[in-house]
Amino acid sequence: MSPLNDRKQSGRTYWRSLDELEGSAEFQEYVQREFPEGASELSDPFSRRGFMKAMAASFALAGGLVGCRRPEEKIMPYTDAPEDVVPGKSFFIATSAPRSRGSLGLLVKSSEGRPTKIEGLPNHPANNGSTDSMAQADLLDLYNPYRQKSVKIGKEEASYKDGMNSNYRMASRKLMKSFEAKLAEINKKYKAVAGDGLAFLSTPVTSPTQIKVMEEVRKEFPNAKWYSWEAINDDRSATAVKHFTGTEGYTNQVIYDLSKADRILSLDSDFMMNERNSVKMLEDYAEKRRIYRDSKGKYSDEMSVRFYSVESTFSVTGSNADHRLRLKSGKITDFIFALAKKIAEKGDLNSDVKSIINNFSSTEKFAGKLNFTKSGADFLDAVAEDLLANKGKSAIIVGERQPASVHLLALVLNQVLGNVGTTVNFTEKAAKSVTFDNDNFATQSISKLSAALDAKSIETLFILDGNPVFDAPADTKLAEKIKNAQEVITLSLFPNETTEVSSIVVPKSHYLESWGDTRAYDGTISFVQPLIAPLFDSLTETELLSKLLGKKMFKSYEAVKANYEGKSWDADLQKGYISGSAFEAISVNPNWGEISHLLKSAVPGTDNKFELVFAPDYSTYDGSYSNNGWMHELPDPITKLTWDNAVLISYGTAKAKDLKNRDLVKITAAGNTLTAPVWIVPGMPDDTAQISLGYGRQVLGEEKGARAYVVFGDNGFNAYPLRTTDNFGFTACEFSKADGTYDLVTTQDHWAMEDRDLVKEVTLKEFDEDFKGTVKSKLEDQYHTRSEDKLYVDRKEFGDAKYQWAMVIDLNSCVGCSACTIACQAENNIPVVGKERVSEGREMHWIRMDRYFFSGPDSEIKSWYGEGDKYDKNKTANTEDLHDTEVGAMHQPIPCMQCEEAPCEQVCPVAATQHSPEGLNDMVYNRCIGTRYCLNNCPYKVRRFNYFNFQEDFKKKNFEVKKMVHNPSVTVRSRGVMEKCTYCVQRINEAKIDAKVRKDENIINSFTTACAQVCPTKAITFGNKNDEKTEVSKMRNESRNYTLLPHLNVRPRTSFLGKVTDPNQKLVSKVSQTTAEKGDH
Amino acid sequence: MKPIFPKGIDDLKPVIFLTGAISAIGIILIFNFYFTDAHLSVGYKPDQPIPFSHRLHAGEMGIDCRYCHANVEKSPHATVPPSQVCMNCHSQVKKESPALKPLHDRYKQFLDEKTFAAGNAENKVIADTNMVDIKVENKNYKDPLPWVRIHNVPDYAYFDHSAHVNANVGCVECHGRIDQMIKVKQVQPLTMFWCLDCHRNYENHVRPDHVPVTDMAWSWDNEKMVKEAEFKKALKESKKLNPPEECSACHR
Repeated sequence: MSPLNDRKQSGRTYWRSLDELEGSAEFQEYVQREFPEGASELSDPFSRRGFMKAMAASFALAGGLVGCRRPEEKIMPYTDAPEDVVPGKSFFIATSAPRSRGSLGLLVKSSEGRPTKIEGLPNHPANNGSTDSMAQADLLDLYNPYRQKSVKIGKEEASYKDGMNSNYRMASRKLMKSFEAKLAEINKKYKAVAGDGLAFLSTPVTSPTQIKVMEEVRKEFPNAKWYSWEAINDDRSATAVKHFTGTEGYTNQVIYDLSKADRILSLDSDFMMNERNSVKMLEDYAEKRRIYRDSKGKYSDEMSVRFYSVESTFSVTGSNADHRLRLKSGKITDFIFALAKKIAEKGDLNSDVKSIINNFSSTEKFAGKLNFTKSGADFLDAVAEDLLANKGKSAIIVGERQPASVHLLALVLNQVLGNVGTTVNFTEKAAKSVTFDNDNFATQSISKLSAALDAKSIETLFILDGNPVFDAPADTKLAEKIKNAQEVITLSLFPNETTEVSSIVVPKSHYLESWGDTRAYDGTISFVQPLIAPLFDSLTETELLSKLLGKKMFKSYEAVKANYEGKSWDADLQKGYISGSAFEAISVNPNWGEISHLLKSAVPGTDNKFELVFAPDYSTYDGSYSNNGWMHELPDPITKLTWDNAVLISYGTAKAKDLKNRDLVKITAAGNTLTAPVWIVPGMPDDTAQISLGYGRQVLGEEKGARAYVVFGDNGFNAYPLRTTDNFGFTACEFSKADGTYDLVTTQDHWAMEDRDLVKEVTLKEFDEDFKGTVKSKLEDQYHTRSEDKLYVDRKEFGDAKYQWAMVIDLNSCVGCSACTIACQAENNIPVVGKERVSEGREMHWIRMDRYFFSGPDSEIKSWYGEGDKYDKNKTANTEDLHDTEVGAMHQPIPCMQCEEAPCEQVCPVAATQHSPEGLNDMVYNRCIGTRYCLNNCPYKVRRFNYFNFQEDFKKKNFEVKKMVHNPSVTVRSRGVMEKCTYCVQRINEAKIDAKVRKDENIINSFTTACAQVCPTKAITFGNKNDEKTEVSKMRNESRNYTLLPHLNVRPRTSFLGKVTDPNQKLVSKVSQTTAEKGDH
Repeated sequence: MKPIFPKGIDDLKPVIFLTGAISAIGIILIFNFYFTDAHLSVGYKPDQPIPFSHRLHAGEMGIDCRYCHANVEKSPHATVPPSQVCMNCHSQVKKESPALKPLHDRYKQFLDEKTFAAGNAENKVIADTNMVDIKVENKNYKDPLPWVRIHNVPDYAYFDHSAHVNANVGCVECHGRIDQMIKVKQVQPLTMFWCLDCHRNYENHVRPDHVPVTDMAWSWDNEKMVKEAEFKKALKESKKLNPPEECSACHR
């Protein structure tokens, strides 16, 4: 059965993978089985024999009836009880997550004296109550047993083999003291020569206190050298802003206000995930897409954003575009030159610049460059027209991958379109590259460091942050040259490639255990407050520098406080940030002389035969999350790969090079060769390979390749050796097929549901015409009449209880960032299972993010394959068609549906899953005997089974620290137990009891589920459907509301709101024309 | 081959099998009945590090339960009091008692730490880390008082004191006459059956609003003012209390 034949609905086709599109046997297997074959087999390292051995041992231990009573438990009260701490009650502390671009405000839950959950700080200007997945995962880093746990001098390090005992403590203190003595020596030595031979390397700094201390250090050692480096940096946009605003150094930044943008054009930008202030931009974007009835039942709020994306990768941002065009990176440069011409013609612009732009196409270097395929040209016309029609209400956003000239031209176009001052603003830079000179952008600075090391002019190098040996550009050869320094002192959270070559390694304090201050991207000052005393003997950057200055009395708390004394310190600290401390927007008079000079020398995009594109990884970012199991196991939002990165290529390239998924390829660039597996992603431009940075780390802790719940070494592929200072965003490369395959693990076909259209969308036009006047759901599946015959026993109608919980997920807001998955993992103590077990379909995520690719109407898809449904390898598809087909993706989070007629409950032999009167499908772990019948009967495939006891590691002394990550309000499940989403029932119960204690009836405003709380786009709404005033009951009455698989009549409590797209009619009519023509044949 | 058993045993076969079956069932029943918490946990009466007498403190001297178990109204845990609370009185009373030595030792240790931290300015700055040093370097360092838990509900059951106390369930309902115990013992089985029994027939266990939960001796017999049956009826009808019976109320 092919899905292509089965789908009757006109319009787009949705598919999880190419396997599904082809209707391959493998995919059918996934649909029909709950687990892929082999999931329930015992495999290595727990062989059957080993299992029996282990069991025998535990029987021996049980040895008859050792004790009939449970083991004796101790209650240890405080000797001196801290004020305001009520044991058993958690409370929240406002803090912030320092990031090198700008911090996020956080509200962190403290349970029995330790942080157990990170949430966004409500009303914080940078993220307003939500966070991204990385901030959620920071919690696991704090308790990671592989952290740098003591000062390491040479090879000497305190042993942590037996955990945090007195031997470790004593050794660690001793090392710290000898390090302090060493610092005093360094101070004495360099004070005499005013700092000659001393150097510091840091990432961009947002903390005013840290900058102050750095300045003090500089005063003490005036000749010391300062360098700044970050692998994912904003050099190119900073350069453009510098020229546009006409400042000396790179002191200004561009800030987009998408809450005012009706039309967005993104050029190779991934602004929703990891550029600039992505959380804020995501929130603003989603707010513009929101389209609900108000209390009077009227649509007062119009959806008013149309989003165009042109990109050389397949990013999360691009997948959400209303129109997406794939172009090679070099061609995107040409795209903006061509676009400039169209806009400049009609815009009000400095005449010099106008004539330069107008003459691009006639100059020799641009000859023949600014031509596009028909679809590209149509796209260009439509975008130009649309942007001109929305002057002052649009934004052109360029990705960091593109050269500075593209950024500059985009700023010029924003100026022409009247966006500067509304959607596009300039402020002082929040993240300061502290180099004390004007040449302070990252690639410049790291090259200078490399040259200085080459000249052996650096004797002692302090590395305050980052992992430059791993992520510096290949041509700086930092890994070799760093050996020229006599002494390298590195402050690091984890052992990494840089600490390996350092003579002294100092453990760095996690931000959850240190005092400090930060600036958000917009400049808002936020505070970093500790929730726990440092677990290990660690220091912050500020503390290390102060120790270098010989300040014995230095205490971070007092240093921070001194900066804000008298400015309502206590109130601000409690709030977490200082309101009104954001930077003022700078009014800009573009320096047209310099701009025209620069544009005159602009060059068209390099037309590489085969292009390699670098992108930050959605899991490990630049490599700094490589020690984090939550992030590794989080399926990539687009490829759904876990535990690895891969070379992403288009379908056309795969065909041309005769490649299948998992085949190894050789990529040569910058004189280095990388052998890595490929993964086919529809929607990538042809002759382009995308590889994400940050994987392929080699040094991750004391053990490598250890078992689940510790992070694997040796996974993924390191792309940094292919990246040079000149080819930073993308590069030409040689690409050829290599022998062999590599085992990539993807979850894209896991938990596949019977193929019906599970994601639904309407166009804004349809919505305006058909949907607005009606209350009845228009999107509910029309093909299956709802059966009145019930398969399962009748149950009393719900409604008696005061609360009836329900969840609505708005697909129009959801962009697929997957922060909900990590938030759920942190809240509900969900284990990490490891790559091997993910490949067996044993991943445990309670809320999964299903991604469906979509492409144009069926007839177009068929043209990929020729006649018939089978993919015919010999019959090459018409590549022009391939280009013309817009490929995008829809993202759909799937938690437990909490069916009212839950099929799982009917089949449990021990009544371990039961319905609560409030409509929850309760799961009782201690009753479950692990028959897995429930999961076999679940049409949504949301139940998860513990095949192993993932908590086994915690019994080891050196892993004890990891136990602290658990949420004490949720049972830690053991082997053989089924588990699933419970709508965060612990939060519901706590809120209900709180309300009882407070004698307050209104509980619903006080809490929400972890996934709804974290969502940057507020796509998930949770609440009481019995109360008509709640958002959730209003949304359930939206005409876009639909449930999944309604014909089964299981009456799920979780429903979805269909996506509303706003296609440009000019581009739509072209697609439908071609469809109509093809239909005639 | 010679048979192992004599032929006559054939007649006894039904008797043998019947006896076997009856004893098997008997053993199962005995295990099922006596090897449960209802029989094993009730009466549990362990030794405590300090022979603290609830009869003396709560019964004879009449100290309110909440003087020590201060958080019982606002937290899931009733809270075993910090040593400071004991020292409110015992810094004056029974200062030399050998039975109280564990308490005095720990409190002195705490005061030492505090003096150390408050000592010279330099110490104050690095007190955070050096506090650890005291603990590590002092071989005689003592952890807080290790009281033995008596009422032990399994970790997968989330019991909340505040919810029950605020519903006016008397302490005595679960803990028995603590005010008469020199050494505390468990009096109720704390099984799920026992929990549910109360949740289903809550009107028999909830007190009228004017009776404090800490009143150990109270019963309907000495309540002349309110008629028991009327109170119970009104309580049921008002539906204000709605003790949950679903699994997720306790198992999360």
